[in-house]
Amino acid sequence: MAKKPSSSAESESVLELAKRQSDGRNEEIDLLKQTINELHERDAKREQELCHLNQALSRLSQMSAIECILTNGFEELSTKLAPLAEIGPHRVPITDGAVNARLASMIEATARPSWSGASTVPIPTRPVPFIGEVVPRPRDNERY
Amino acid sequence: MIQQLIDRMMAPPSNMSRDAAAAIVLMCDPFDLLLHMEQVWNAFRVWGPPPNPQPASPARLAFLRYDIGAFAPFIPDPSLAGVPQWDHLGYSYVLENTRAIQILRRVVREYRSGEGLGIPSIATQRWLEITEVLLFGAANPLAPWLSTSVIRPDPEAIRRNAYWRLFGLDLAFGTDDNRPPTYDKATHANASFIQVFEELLFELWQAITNVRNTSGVNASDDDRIFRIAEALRFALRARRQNQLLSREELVAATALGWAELTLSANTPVVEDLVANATSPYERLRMIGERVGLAPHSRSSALFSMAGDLSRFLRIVESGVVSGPELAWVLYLEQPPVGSPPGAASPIGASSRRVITEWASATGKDLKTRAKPIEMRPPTRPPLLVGAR
Repeated sequence: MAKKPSSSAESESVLELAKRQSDGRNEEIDLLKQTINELHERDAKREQELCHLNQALSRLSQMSAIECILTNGFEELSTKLAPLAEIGPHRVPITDGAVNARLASMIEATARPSWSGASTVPIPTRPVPFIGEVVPRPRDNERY
Repeated sequence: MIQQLIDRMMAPPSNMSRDAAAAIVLMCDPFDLLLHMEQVWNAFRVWGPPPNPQPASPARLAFLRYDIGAFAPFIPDPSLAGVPQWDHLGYSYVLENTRAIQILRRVVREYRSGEGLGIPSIATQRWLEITEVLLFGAANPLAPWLSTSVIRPDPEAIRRNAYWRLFGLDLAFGTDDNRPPTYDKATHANASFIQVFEELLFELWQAITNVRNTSGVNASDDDRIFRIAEALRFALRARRQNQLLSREELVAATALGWAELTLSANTPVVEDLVANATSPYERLRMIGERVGLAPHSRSSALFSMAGDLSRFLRIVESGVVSGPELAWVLYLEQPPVGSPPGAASPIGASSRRVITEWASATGKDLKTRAKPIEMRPPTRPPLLVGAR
């Protein structure tokens, strides 16, 4: 005849089961907490990045505004100063062949070599003999 | 004339190197150089085309044989008749102010009278022969055609006379022994030349600094440049009527050209005088020390501008700048936009060199106006005509 388990043993097993179950939940809770923390950190990072982007964007928008002001200012200044360019010299190219030839010939007639860096002018010479050093050679048809 | 001769020797078809050409000129017979001077003079056709007489008659041509001589292949092309193939008298003036001629005179005297400077080499003996002929009027077969005679025997006095007439200027020094110079001072001289010349240089500097100015206030004034250049041209041409002074200009350019060639490199005489250096001024200074005569303290600037001043004055005198619209010829370095291909280059680089070196040589600041224009408010309001 089989012996029935006692009530204390049953209660122990139930407690164990309950304990196991509670341990499992705790692990899940821990995991969930960890996940939540990670999400918070990520969120903070995103916010920081967003903040940086906002700052960069605002700077860019400010610069373009300065550029815009400067460009418009210069254009306006250039328009105002345009009449001065007409007062400046009016240079007409030489189209008359005779004038061009006269100028070219004057420039050519005053051309000169460049002497920058000139050093010794090489002039080959031999030692000069004294009187009496050179012996005259008799001509073939002369007899001594 | 000497520098132009070397330039022609370096050009095709001979294509000589500069040193080879210089060596030939330095070692030539003085007669060859004088003959070439006459050939250049004849090619110039000083009095224009016939029926005006030509410088050399057939008899002289036959006697001199213009087609012979060491430099006959380098006679200027006949198509260039009327264009002087030698430097302007301004070139001779600034170079003579270095005192090079008087220093070389002492060198010749020392060499010819003793051995105090050492034994001259063969090349230096040749140099002495040429120098005595070209600079100091030694007898030669072409003497009648030189600018000297019994009436005006001193070549330096003749050059001083020419400088006085054309520029209203005297040299910065007296005679070799520091006495006041004696020469015929002509009554007709361009006394206002230097004032007009320096005013032109000032205006050209304003133009040079404004060449790239396209939008700001532009201080360059082409009309004023033209007017001053025209005044200078009138003054120079007034002394050149019927080609007066041309012969003297050629002889002076030949003499000073010879002095410049002597000092442009370590030529044989420079080496014999142990005056080897890297610039003409230094060579002249060292030679001057050997013979006891110092050159002009601003000789470096004078040497630097001589060639450019020659070109500048030639262009001004030639009348190329015939209106304000062509004033750019004197200050641009490239022809303006729209110039036809092959257009001659303007002489802005030469003008700039002259401005810099003239300021250095004279101590005048040509880049600022000597007397600034006063801009004061009127002390009382101007009265209108008819106002009560």
